[in-house]
Amino acid sequence: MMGCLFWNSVGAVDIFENLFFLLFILKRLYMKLKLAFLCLNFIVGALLHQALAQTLFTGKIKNKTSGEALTGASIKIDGTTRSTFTDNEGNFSISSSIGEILVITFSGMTTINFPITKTGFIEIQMEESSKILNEVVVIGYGTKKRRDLSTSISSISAKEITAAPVADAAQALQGRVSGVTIVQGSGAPGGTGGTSIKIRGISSLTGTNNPLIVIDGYPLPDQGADNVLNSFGTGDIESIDVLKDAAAASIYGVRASNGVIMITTKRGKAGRTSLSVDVYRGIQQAWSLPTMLKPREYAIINSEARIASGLPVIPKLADFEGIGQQFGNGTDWLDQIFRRAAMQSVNITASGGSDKSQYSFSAGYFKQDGIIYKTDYERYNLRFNGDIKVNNFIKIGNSLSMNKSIEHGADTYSAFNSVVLLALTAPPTVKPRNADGTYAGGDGNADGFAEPNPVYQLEVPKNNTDKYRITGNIYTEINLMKELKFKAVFGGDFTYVEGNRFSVATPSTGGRPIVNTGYSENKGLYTDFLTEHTLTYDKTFKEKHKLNAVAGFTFQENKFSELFASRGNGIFAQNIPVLNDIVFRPTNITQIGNYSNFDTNLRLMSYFGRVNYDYDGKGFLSFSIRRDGSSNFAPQNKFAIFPSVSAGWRLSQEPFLQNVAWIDELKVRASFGYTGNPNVAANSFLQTINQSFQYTFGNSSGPGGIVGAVAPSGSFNPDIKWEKNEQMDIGLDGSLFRNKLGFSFDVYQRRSKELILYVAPPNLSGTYEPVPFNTGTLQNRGFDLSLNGKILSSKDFTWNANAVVSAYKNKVISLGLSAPLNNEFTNIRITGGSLRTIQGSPAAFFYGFVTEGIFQDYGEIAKHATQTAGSDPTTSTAPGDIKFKDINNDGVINNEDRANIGNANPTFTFGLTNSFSYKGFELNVFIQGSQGNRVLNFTRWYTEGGVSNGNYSNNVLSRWTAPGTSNSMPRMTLNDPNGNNRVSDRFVEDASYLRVKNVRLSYSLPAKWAEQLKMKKTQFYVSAQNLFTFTKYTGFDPEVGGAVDIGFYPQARTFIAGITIDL
Amino acid sequence: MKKIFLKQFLLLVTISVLFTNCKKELLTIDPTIPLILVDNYYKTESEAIAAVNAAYTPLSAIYNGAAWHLGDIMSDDADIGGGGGGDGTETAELDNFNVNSFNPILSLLWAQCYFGILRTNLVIEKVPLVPVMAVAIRNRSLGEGRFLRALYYYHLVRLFGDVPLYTNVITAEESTTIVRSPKNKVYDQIIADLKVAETLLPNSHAAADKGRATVGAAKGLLASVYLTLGDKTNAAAKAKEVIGNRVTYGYDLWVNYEDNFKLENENGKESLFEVQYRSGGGTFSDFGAGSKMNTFFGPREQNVVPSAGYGWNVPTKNFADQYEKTGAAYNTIIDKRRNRTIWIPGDTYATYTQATQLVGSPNGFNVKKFFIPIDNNTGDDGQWRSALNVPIMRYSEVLLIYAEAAGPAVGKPFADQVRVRAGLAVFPAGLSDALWLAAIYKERRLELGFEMHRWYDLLRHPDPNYFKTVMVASGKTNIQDKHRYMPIPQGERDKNSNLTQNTGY
Repeated sequence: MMGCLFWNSVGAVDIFENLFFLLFILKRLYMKLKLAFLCLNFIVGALLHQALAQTLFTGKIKNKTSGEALTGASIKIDGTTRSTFTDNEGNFSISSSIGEILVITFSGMTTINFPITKTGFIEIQMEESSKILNEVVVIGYGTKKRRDLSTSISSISAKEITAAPVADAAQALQGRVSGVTIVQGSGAPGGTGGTSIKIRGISSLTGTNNPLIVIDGYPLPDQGADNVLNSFGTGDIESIDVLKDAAAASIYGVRASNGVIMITTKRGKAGRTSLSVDVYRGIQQAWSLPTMLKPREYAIINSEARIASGLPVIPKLADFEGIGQQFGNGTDWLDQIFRRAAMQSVNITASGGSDKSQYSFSAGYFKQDGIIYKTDYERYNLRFNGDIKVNNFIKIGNSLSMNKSIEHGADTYSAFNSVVLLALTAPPTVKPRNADGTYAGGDGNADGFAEPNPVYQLEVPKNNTDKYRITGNIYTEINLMKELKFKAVFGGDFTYVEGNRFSVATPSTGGRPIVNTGYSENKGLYTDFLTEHTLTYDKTFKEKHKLNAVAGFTFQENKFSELFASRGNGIFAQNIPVLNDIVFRPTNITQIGNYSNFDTNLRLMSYFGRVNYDYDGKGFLSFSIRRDGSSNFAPQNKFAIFPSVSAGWRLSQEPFLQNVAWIDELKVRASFGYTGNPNVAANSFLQTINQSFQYTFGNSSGPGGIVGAVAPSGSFNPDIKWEKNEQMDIGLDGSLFRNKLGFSFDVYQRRSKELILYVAPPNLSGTYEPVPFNTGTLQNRGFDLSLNGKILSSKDFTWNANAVVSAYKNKVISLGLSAPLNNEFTNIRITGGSLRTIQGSPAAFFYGFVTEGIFQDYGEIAKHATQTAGSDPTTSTAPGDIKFKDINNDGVINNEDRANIGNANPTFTFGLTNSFSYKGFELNVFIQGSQGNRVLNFTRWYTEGGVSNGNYSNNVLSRWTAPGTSNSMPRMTLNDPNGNNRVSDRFVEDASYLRVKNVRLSYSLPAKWAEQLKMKKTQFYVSAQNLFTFTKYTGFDPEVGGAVDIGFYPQARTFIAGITIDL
Repeated sequence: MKKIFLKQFLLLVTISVLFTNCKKELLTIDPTIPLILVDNYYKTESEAIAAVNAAYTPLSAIYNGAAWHLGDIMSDDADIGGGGGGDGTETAELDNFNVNSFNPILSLLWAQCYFGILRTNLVIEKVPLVPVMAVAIRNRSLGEGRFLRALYYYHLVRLFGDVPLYTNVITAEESTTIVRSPKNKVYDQIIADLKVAETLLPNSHAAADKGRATVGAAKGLLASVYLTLGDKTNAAAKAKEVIGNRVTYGYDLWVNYEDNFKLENENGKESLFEVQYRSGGGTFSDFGAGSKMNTFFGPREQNVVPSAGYGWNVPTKNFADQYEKTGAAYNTIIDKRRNRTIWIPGDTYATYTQATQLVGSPNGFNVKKFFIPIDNNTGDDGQWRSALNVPIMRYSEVLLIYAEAAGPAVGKPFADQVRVRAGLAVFPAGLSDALWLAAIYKERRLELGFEMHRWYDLLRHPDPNYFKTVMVASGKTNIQDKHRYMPIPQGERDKNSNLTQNTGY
């Protein structure tokens, strides 16, 4: 139904407009690309080996299922160095003689050994191999076939990553990988609001819970807050592998407690030249906005609330009917700030090469306008990956990406000045602009409302961030012996961020802090260097015993420095358009702030090793160890060792299962290992001294006589060291019914021990700063399940389905020396609640009051524990107020009556992908969701509490007005004497949701047509993101980062149309 | 083949060089801005002085945030005042003797005293090790360390009784296990420290250092300690040392009582030691550099002091009635000290006249001792930042200590000096010991009114029930034996399970 509404409102015009645009692009590109293709082909051709003329055998290689020709399949004569690749039509020719064996390999297909028995043209059909078992998985300092894995690793492919029109690859992981919970906390364009990635829940209470991200072998430095992977073009990614259990991750040691995400970018393939262009364009729109009161209703509610608070009615709002006539529907402020916004993306990739050298170039452009007016994001990215065989034993190569992004943001995250909140609260009887075009705003006298005008807040302040990032490495691989390979990698990751902000003065109404008119600039440089050396030994003994060993050394240095300068000076004030000179006048124009900051400076030196043993493709044993040294810790604690062990057994290879027809593959796995979390600031083991004390001497009758005073204010813990995680995982992988159903199931337990918690010392120590201690234990237990089924598969029609389910339970086993942790809500306007962590409960539950309905009369108030004593309804509890539960039964409702009122951990999360293909058509429907997670919806504090005389949501129409009228929505007051708006379960909502995240329909031109156009593949597609969302949650979006919703930037519903051309 | 092996050998050599190039030292990073650690501080004279200065800092918080609540409001001199209702429940708990171990005023005093103690311990431990330092400065610094440590323990032991006693630098770990030491051990340490301090401290300081401890301050404080312990002989002897050396030390009474509380007379001739405050600095905080007492004690909402005036620490009728007067009305009081000590109805400042009743002040009384008028921006630039110092000990107190300890026969002329300055007749001769004690107690109450001594005077009286008798008489029937000592802060006991609680809490 929502879809229909969309079509009605958007109209077919836009769709046609998009299609025309695409055709236009296509036509222009075609000529250019054809030329480029010819050039490339020439270069590649020159590089290709020319086979010596013996007897020339020719043939064609095809996909057995689809019948399409396979380009770039490798053909090698067994036991010789003679080899070739199929061309664009799948044809090959190779000199050989009868009796020799052709070894034909192609990624994703079962390798064929084809004995030559006759001369002449041969057609060979290749069968798709069982995908789940034969795919190659990146495991950290190496790769492995999924079939041989004994650890828990999930993967997604390029196709899944690019299916959704997102800027950040992290967002593409959502619902696709079991055991990984992704929350996109903001719909800000370009994914700049960050995406939270949690692998199997949280592992630390005070440190990072972000996984380590490794791109082409380069471990990226921790980004502090939520991950922002939006520097990297999603089109460049070949695959993402998620190392989930400790045995898989522990090769990354101290940074691996939260799992590891391995991103592999596209590289050239020998003999497979291609030029690919992908272009899409789309529109986005908010999918759900709350309904606010119209002027007449607003006047009624506001007046009622004022009377209940003993305040005079605002004269402008006194005549309800008159208001209705004068203002009609009034100003729809949400409509003023939200808009329909465009997005577009162009990605061009050229790749190819010979068996000696391969390359992949790509260039991309991405632009997304925000659905909030005046916000947008633009990105340019370039990538060059290359590999060259210098001679028989030396290979060199590189990965390099260069990116630039430009972001125009708005405040959508702060409790006082978020434009979303301002738009929710601005009265409908106030206009955005005056008749003369100047900004209008609430007039404290006439409207009783003087908060900033949200349109003004979007148009006048500036919030720009430019970001430049270069990430790359070069490597050389040397075959020292047949079995022994040495690899050296040198790399760097440099990010330069330049921000400039212009803020306008906002007044100090309703407790908001004053914002001064001012300008600030910050320049941050993040640099990271890596050097890495590995030795890999590969040998098979007596045919059945395969040994693979890796030993290595790596050193990484990470630095961050920032310069910041700001001033609220008159020179800026001269050009500031002011809304209202009295309200918005800069209050302090002399403030100047400057600082430079060297925030992190970290070095890691590590040694690692891993031995994989494979017995006859049946049994697998793997042992890994890493010794990490960090500059952050005391000399005696710099180094720590993280070992792991895992084993797998392919039951299906055993005689007792070989006769069971319906089991194709069955493997049990078990693993155990240690990982770490280095979450403590540098030099925490030292006792520093505080130089900020002051005292006064001399005969000072005024401000003079200050003397410096220096003393320690914190004690210290010389033994502080890493947090330690131990994780156990048991898994079962299989493929059943002639590979029609594949599954992978894991159960795990992770215990984070020696958690770093900050313990406040007794003051009698003479100090007051909390000291870090390794104390406390946190536990996650859960399971991950992924299923994939080939439901239907015929020549023309196939239906595949994929499902993932992840669930875990988080529990604080012990807080050790630490008192319960109360993380007060810092970015909201009410006090009293917190995210609390105590022993025996899940971490960070909502801590607040429990409601028990509404007092219907004074009799009920008298019987209940005292809330706000008194008999005057303007200053004390009165009928219509919320009844709070007296948890400690002391007859008084106070802070001691707060309890656990829910937490943000989902019971489970899931994703379901269905893909249907019929001839050239392919339809993908991706559903994703989360069950049992709760959100503290503070937007309702704004929309049901009448902040600063502001507007209300429609919900308040069902408020309590007389006994029996409501048992959930309290009476309307402005001063809230009963504390109805305190942190309570009133605002805790079930944010379970099921979302049709993406629907994508594509059509590929038949091979015949494509051939005529000299193209390998031409595909048109349309796709819809966030098409439907089913949820009981009443805020903008049930996906809320940080579990507390203060009206963040909501996600958009997006429709795109695009085209992919492969030459 | 040989060639290849040679190449491989060279490669291996290169690799091993690459491996060994990274040394463990690389894991030690010198910060861009050098870290200043406890271990590498205290190396120069100026660092030693800064360390000593830090030991003084807690005084401003103690006197802003706890001393008057405990010394005045808890006693029969004053009631809470303020806005009533829920305004200052922690102070009301003290006023009404329903205090519990969560009281933040007690926690503040406890914490600040121990902050001072750690810092003095550091001074005493580290200053002797400073390689190059003028002898005078080194002695002075060590003397200040001893004096301040004694002062902080004196605050603790009088209020809490047995308290953890340590004279070295302790770790966070140790502080979670340390036990309370008996009172007498704490007093022994106080006396020992002050005896060392009086040998090290100078008689006086140059202008820029006025406000630092002096030998007179150490001797005066020691006299007070002896008197608290009931050791009259030593109390008299110590007080006499101050009085006898008053010329050397530069002590004398101001001609007018109110001269003691003038900005221009800070650290003046009558001052042995005072808390140093200044304007500017942090706002609306106990921990700023200024005194909040001007705004807190000023008549409520009368705008005669900055921030309107909060009207706390309101003098009782019982207190006002102690003044000698010629008629029934308070404006017939002849004691010259009254006018600077308290506001009474009819008092004026510029266009302001004190009313007969104010919010929180049923009799129209307020404390005037630390009054800086709203129009004196140098003296108080608002937002709880009065520059006026608060006396910890004045020369007149030394005279009264001596008079009390030496007894009526010997002590009378010294107490008379104080009375005469107040415009009162000298004491009658030949008072009995009991009457003399009562007379001195009353004199101290008026002379030192609202200088935060009264509660401790009630406690140290030879009659152990005196504080209860007095408080019951003044209507505080909640008072019990247990209130001789306040409860140990629960927050501290939560972190150190060895800390026992005082009886009755």
